[in-house]
Amino acid sequence: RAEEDMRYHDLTTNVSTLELGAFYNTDNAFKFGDYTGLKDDDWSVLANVDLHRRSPFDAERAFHYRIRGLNLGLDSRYVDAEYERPGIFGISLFYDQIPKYQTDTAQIFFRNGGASFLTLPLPPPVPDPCGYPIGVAFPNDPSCFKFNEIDHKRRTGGGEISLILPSHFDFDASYEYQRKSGEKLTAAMIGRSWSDAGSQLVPEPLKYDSHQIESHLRYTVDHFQLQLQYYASAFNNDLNGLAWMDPRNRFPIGNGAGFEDGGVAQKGSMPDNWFHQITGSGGLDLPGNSRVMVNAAFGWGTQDDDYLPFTNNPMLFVDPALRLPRPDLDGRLETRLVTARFVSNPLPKLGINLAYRWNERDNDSPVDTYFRVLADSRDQNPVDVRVNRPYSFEQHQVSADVSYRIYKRTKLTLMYEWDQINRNLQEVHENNEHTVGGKLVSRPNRHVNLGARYERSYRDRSSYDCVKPLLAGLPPLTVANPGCPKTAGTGLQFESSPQLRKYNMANRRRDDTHVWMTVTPIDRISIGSHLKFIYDDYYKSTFGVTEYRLLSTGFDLSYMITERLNLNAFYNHDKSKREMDSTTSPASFTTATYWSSRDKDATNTVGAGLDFDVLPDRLSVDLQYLFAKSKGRIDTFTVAGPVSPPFPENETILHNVSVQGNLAITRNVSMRVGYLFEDFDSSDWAFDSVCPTCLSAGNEVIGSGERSPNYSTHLVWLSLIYRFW
Amino acid sequence: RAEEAADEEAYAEEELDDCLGCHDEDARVPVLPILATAHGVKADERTPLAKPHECQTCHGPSAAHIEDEDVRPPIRFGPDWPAGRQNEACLRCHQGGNRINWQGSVHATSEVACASCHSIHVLQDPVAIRDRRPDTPVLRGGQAAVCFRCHADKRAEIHKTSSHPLRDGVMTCSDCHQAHGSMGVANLKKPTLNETCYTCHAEKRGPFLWEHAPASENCLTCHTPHGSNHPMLLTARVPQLCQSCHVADFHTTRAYTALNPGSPPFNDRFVGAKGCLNCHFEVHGSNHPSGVRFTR
Repeated sequence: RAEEDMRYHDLTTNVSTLELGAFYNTDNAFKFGDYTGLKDDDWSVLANVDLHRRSPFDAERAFHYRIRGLNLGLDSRYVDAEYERPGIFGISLFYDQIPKYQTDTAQIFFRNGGASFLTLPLPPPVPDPCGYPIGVAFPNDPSCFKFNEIDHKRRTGGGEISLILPSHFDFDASYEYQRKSGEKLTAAMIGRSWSDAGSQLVPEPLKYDSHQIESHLRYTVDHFQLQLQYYASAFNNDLNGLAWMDPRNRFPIGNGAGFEDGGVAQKGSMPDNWFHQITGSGGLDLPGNSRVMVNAAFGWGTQDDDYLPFTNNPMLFVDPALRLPRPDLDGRLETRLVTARFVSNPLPKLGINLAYRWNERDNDSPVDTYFRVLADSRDQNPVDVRVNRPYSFEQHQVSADVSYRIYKRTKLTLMYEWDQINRNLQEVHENNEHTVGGKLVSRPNRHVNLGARYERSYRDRSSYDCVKPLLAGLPPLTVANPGCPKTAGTGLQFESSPQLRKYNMANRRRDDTHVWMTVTPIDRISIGSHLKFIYDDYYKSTFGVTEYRLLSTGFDLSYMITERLNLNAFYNHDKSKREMDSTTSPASFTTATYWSSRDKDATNTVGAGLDFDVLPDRLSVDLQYLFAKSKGRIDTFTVAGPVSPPFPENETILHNVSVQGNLAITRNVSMRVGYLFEDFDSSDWAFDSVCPTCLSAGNEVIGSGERSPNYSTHLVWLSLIYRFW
Repeated sequence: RAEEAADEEAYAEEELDDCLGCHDEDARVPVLPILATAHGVKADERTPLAKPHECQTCHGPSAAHIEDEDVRPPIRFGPDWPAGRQNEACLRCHQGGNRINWQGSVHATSEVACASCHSIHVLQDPVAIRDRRPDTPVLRGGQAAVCFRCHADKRAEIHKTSSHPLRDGVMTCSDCHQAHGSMGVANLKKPTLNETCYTCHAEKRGPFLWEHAPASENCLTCHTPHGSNHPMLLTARVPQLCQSCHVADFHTTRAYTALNPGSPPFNDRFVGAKGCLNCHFEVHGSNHPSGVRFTR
């Protein structure tokens, strides 16, 4: 009887746990630590807390609280706490920390990476061979580049309060603060010659703050529900631009007037922005098994971060007459979205689903003329003028589905969708896409569950005006000879080839097929499989993406071998192919200038797991294995055929094996012991063997020298868990 | 009134004890843990146990079942029963808030039952588990493992070369998706796809002085969210991805191959390292007055 009571108690009472132990990671593996924090070959504290208590189910004064701490000894720690009086109110707080380890193989010339002004090594008399000034030959000495770890942390904290109000109302409000700090790699332009610019990859400090508020007021009764929502987001960047000294110490001065040491340059940082949104949602049940749902969201955003100057290089001439047109963008953005859906079952077997969606982004930022300074390396020139292009678009989507239950558990759905998008300032003003399709979902008996869906879409467009972006981006009368005929002619100005069709706006025919099935021959075994195939044909594109294919297929197995032994396994294969055509001579192309590129990617993923209750309620063991292999390949073709040799294949291979055991020592104390081995091999020709100073003969770009991550590491852990109720 | 009386007779009285008398701690599928969950709080008038018919609030009038276990309760949950009928029972209480848009959503029309994902007779609904420990990979359990039961292709994608940190448990599906239906596409939590991305990537919201039109319109023009073989979740390799839309004079039209000058040969400044982004890094938009080419 005592044992039964104990079992009843355990089943009806939330358990709290305290876990303390240690991880030991055998290898330094920056990539393994990405998001987990386990990057060093060292001991780490394994600490998890879960304090969970709920009043008895029949208590007159009910309460519930829970305090959780996960990964407390690691950089990926998470803590939350919630207290609730069910049916009255709830309050919760959380803190979340996520490390992002981008690379530990970046090689940077600057010694003060992470600062907002990157300075060169000290000049003589300090004996630094990489010191300032370096001279024309820079940078040829690899030893001048030092390894930097590029990483950042995302720390998020916040809370939520919820109230159950009288008369079927309830309310909640949440606040979230996020701090992203650390570094990322970015490109810093440098003057190479008067007419050309180069770049270098450097660390940029990340000092992002964002605040988000979201609150809901709801009214819920049996056949009518209403929700009003307010959302606000404020983004603040403490970095007001990144500046740097020219590593070559040779800034071109004047328009072809020569070079001089001591140049500096600057780039902008992500500007502060505000966004507010009010949303209303409602659902109403109608007679005849029908329901209508309407949502409307109106948002407005602003961005008025102060502009940086056209250039911060004092050696360049800035024309006082060509000053900034305004101190900041005074950017204004409005978003509007309305959705409406009507669903009905007028007959027991017949279902109707009609939907409409209107989505608009209206960028009402002021349009002005800006006289840019290219890469802080040339004097301001009234000819080098641009007009900003605030993009707006409006989208309408209408869909209609009709479903009919053709058999007891078999439903056939026919669907149609029309999707129209209108844009400003781009080559295509309007796209219309029509989709027709059908879906069959069936469970003919308790052993089989299957489905199939097929959709075909046609997307067409208004005329392709290849000079529209160009004309919108330049002041009137500065385009000498705009034109966009089918065949380009010498002297015509356009932003991209008249034959190009940008793939997001191009005519497209899409076939989308998905088939899936789950078979449960006996209760203990379940086998699932799926196949998905998408084929996009950009049938009117001479240049640009012309074809895309995606195939994904796989199966799942779940097998309860015995009551105490479970096996699960899966395999997935997916591959894609993307074809693109282009020309080396967009202004006067001929067949001889055609070229094309085919990107092929393939991924195989295999996983298997075994859960074994060795001794029920005393000892359990689980074993997991995962293998993932991805390959990518690019083949380039010219009219003469495939270019040989092709790019090397990029490959990523992951093996992950883990085994874990839980042993109950007493009713309150258990031990957890585990082992994980992870092997990660990757290759990427764009990074491997590409040293910082060997990106082209002229050093136009100083790279970061990053390498693809490769590691093998063993992680073991041992902990004691104390359980209490 | 006679029908109502007949219906009322079909309900058992004092049925919680009756139910737990059989569905006790030795039952094959224990139901007792519901008493330690939000559904089992008698003091909260919204819960089934606070309502007069207790378990029958969800399972329907079950007096006959209590008399004879071979007579099944009228409302049952699990793969053997029609999803629509199961969901009616849940939606009677859960139609508001995030479920306003459930009807007609892709999960509803695909015959997904609430019980396909949620388990309410357990101490911890797997969908609500947030477990990020490096020693308990995502495939062992938790919300993502529930979603992957149907979205198997997404399970494969998160293991590609670049992905959001679902594999590490740092993110989970509901960080972006509202599985109960939403006003957004693909059941996204926010009204539009870009607004969903901006909840974590607020710096890319703008508006910028110099906008990159496809980035402002749809992040998916260049990115694929669940996993990619290319860095930064890009849909294709740079520079080929950029060259898909930029066919102008100068370097955007070159046929980049492994034969380009340099040693190794692909050490071309337009191809090696970050490709086009070696210079045009600010592709999401620039606010620098000289940043029209997204270089600063």
